[in-house]
Amino acid sequence: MDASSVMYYVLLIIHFLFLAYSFLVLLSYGILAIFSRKETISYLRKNSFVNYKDILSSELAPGISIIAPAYNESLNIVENVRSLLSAHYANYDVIIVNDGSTDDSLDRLIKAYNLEKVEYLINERIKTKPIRAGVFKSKNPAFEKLIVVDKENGGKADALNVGLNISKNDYVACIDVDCLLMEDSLQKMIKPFLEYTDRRVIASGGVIRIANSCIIEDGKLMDVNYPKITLVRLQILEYLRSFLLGRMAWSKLNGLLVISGAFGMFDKNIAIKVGGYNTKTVGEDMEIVVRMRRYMEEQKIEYKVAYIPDPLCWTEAPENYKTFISQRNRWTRGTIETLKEHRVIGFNPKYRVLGMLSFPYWFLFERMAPIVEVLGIIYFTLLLFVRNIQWDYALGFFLAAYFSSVIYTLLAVFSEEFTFHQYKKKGEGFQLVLSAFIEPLLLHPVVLYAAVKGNIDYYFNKNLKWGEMKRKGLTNK
Amino acid sequence: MVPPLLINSFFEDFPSIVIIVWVLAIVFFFVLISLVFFLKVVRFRLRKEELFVETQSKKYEENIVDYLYSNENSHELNSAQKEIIDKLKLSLVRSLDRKIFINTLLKLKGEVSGNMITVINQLYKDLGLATQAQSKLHSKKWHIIAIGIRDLRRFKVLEAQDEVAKCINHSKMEVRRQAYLYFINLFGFKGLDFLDELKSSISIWDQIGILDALQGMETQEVPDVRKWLSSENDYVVLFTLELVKAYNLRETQKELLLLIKHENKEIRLKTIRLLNYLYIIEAKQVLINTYENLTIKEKIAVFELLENIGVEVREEGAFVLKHINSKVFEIKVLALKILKQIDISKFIGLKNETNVLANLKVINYLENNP
Repeated sequence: MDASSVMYYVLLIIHFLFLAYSFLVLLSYGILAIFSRKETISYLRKNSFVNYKDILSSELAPGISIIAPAYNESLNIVENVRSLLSAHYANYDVIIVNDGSTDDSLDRLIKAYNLEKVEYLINERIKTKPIRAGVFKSKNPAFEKLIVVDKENGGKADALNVGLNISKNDYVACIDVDCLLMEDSLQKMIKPFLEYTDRRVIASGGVIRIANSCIIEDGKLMDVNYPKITLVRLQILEYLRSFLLGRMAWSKLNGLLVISGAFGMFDKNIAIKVGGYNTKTVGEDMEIVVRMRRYMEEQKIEYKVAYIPDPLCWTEAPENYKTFISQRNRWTRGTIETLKEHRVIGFNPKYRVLGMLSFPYWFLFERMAPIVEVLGIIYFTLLLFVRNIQWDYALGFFLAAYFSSVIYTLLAVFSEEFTFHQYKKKGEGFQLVLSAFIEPLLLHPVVLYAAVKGNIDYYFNKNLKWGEMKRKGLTNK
Repeated sequence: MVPPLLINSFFEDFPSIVIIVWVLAIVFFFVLISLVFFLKVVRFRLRKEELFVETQSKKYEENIVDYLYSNENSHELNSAQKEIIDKLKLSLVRSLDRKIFINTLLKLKGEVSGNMITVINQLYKDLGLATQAQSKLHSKKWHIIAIGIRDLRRFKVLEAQDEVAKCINHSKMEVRRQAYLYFINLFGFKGLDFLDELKSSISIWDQIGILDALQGMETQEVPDVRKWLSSENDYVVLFTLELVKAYNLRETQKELLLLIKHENKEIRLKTIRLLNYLYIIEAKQVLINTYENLTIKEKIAVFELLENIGVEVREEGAFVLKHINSKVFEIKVLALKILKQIDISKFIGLKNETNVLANLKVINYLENNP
């Protein structure tokens, strides 16, 4: 066999590897869409028999601590805390962890909620940065649910760990302080923990929705609007796809690896047993879920990570590309760190669905996707220079990929329409479809760029941490 | 229209894999166009359905109000009522209409009182809806069965009790829950007899629903629950413990003390907490005697009980003192707290004796906080 034949076969193998990868991506999306449909129908059916009012007055309602870390949130912190305090649930408290803010967040909270410093016995089961100004509670009985902890800066994970140490309840809802929680969100999130008798529910995650352009008054969502800014519109589709198709399907398979850091509820004892949030990663939300699951598998305890598809938590999405890229860069680094930290799980039958399905999927189609895609682009560019491209072949591949991508997004839109139907105004359907068509062309390249940057930063810029996320705030003034 | 010959010549030299990809692209394109079209239809239909529900609800509400007020004094149906029933029967052919009608009926049921509620329940039966709901109990689909039981419960159809009883141990928890609620809503505390037949589980969520339903009952005559405290089904025992707590059933004391040695640790923990809640002093010695065999959670619960009920220095003082250096934070705090209550000088003396910072923190905290 001469050199040119060898080269021919090498190229052929490369082509087929790319093809096989694309086919597997397409196949996995199709399978996820089917599972998602099944799970959505099942959820809606089950939910139609639920009366959430029962739990409001019940003495059996378990205690929940909402833990919200805050760093330099002075602008909106008073309103955000008010929103958290207005949840419809009988037995909960709100722990705001001021993570070494350098602005006047603490002063504003003290003033607004009439706080006073109290002695508080903390069982430091998880090592954290020390308390700075102390623990504060309100003198006003109307705010008796509020606990404010001021500590030295240690990052979001460290602040959440302080909350875990302080909480006296069995369940903790970890949220971003600037998120808007629906009034019934705690009732819905706690339900899975109370309804399973054959397994222990260790965590439940909710859908995160984008609140930009929505009307919010006094910490309450009044009206949902489809935003005008293209970047935000495209992110809405991404979120719909991720939450209503991807996570819904993984929930059916009991294979969820991530619960959004913006809003998730955990069994506190398990969270503490595994050591709380990992302060050494920027993907602490994914990492803790993987660690908790790993612990349950190793202990051979039947468990579930539940998922609630209702729109329970609304957050502000980045409105400019710089912030967006920084956010996605962090998500990529978080994924790499978590998968690396728990690599022993991958393809390990001891970990059942986690090891044989969830982990390999995340590795192949989340971790490796940007790398494969970039390699594909480089290879294509090389081909452009060294030999003639068969454009009629290439066009076929491009169209198949593009159309399948839009179809998958439209399936997410359908799921939204048949379930929660949030974008019901006239014209918004057209805007959703239009966004679905332009998203692969406009947003995906940016997501890819951010992921590549995340990979580079992970390997060559180890000191990079969270990065700044500039927010305008959700409250309409 | 593209001539077939042209298509053939376009694909002529293509490898089969490329042909497949092109075929896929074309199929995807048509799927995409259909989806866009379908989405438009769906959105239009949803909007139309919303309007339809609104108008039909209003229409049915008027019909029901006419029915209710056309004959307030007699139990016999008059001609106007018969006419309304006939009219309604004709319009309740579609399942969506039935759904809207039932929702409207329920809404009105919530707004009226006394005899009107009975009339509404009777209207439900007269329209044949009760028979339809009963027939749902034979469905192979779990959600249809659950809908059937739910509607029979909401409109108090007693005749279905034998059929519903068969669903008590259904494999789907939603069906079981509806069956439990049917018996409670229709028979009150007497309905709890389903616990005798229960082989499957009752989740905490179920318990919340059942207790809420019980608390809504007009008569609050709690039956003797002691037999369920010795049930072979652990879930029945767990639920009964909740009943004991909700209704302060102190007469179950003897059975509760026996449950401290139950095999199921969840039952043991709940029992200890309940003994604490009911302030049963006799539990102290029993718990101290079995203390070493308990789980950490149970041990914490024991100390909570001792703190709440109180400790006699001569009888339990030594036991408490033994645990002031416990490795379990909660036990250490509770033991020190109790020590402060029973022997303040010993408690203050500990400050000089201990050189462990963590212990000193706890002692200082307890010293300043009652």
